[in-house]
Amino acid sequence: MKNSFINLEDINLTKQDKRIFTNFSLSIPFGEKINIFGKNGAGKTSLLKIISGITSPSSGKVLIDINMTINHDIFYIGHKYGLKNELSVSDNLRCILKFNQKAEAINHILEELNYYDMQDKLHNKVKYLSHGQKKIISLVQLPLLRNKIWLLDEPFTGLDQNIVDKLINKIDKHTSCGGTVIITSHNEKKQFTNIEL
Amino acid sequence: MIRVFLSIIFKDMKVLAHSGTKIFMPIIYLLLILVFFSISISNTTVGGYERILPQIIWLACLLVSLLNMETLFKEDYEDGTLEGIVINSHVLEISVLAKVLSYWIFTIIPLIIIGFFVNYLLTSNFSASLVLLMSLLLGSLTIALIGSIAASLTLSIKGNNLLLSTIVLPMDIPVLIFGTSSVYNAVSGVSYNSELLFLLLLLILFLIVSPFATALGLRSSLD
Repeated sequence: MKNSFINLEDINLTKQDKRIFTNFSLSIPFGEKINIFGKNGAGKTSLLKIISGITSPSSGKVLIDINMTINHDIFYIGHKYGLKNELSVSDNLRCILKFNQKAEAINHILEELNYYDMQDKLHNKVKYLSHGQKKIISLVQLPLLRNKIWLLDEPFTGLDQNIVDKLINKIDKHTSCGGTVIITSHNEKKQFTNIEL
Repeated sequence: MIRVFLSIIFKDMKVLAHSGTKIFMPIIYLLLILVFFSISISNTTVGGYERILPQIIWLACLLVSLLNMETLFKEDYEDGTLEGIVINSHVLEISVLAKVLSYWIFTIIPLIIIGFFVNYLLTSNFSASLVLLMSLLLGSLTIALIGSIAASLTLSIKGNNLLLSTIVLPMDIPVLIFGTSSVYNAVSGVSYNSELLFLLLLLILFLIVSPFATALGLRSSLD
């Protein structure tokens, strides 16, 4: 427990009279890749939202035991991608980087888009991109923002195998540098430490 | 902190610049309300139109700004931007204040400027128009701050616009009383300082209270 990065202690969560977690505890160490899997409605998204701080559990504690604030070192990608349809890919990423005080990473936007073969979409408005392309744009933010903890809600859904492989490479690189990645999915993943809900 | 604050305002400005109707529709709506008011009271207030026009403008600005209040957090909520703001804000209250200020600057201030010019062109009373401008500047920001609390609380409810107006309108009554009194006094040629001071007092009060209440409302809506 002492060397853990994220500790969930006795988490209880009730939503609309339905018990989602009862005394749920979880300990995630440094540099770990975690896949939280389970059937629909098991509470996978709720768990990510509790760790991110968006949702407060009914009772229990979420501890991040490192000298950092939970605010600044967590990046969460849910089912919505946080992109403005009216703005171009470039403007969206620039605005997000400025909001997160990572303006120096603006110079690497093209490089990261290039990694996913999306460099030609730099000046396209987000509303003209497909669902999968929007998801890739949201994933491009991960290495640019360089947060310690990545919380990715079903990151592989809707992506082709080539992109999935590239994303797994990014995740491996991040965890090898001490970062922690928690994803959710509907089944076990061989590259990840699997936790069933 | 200031960079985060400015980045939110800058992003909202860019989004608005790429969807021009969001700025111009409230202005057109305001002008239509003023025309409809003028037509409906043209027979009943012979000679008194100039005296009540500033008050009509005040009320019209209040109603039009309320109509748009729903959009304050709605789009950010629907596209997931709000989750990012809540997770990554060091101080969520500062981000909330930036959102309200950007709404006020880009949606309400154009209405106030139009209201000022309409009043000056139709009444030729510059000093009363200036008081109208000042009272609207103070009052509208207070209304936006009050509205942000209700907007955050009704965020997760679909079709919340009517509910939002129902919550906000009674809370706007003190602002409306002091706002319209100040312009009426200015038209009548008596002192309007105390009304403007009350508006300033209300503004300071809600500048302190509203960001905290709105931040709590946003967290509970995302919960």
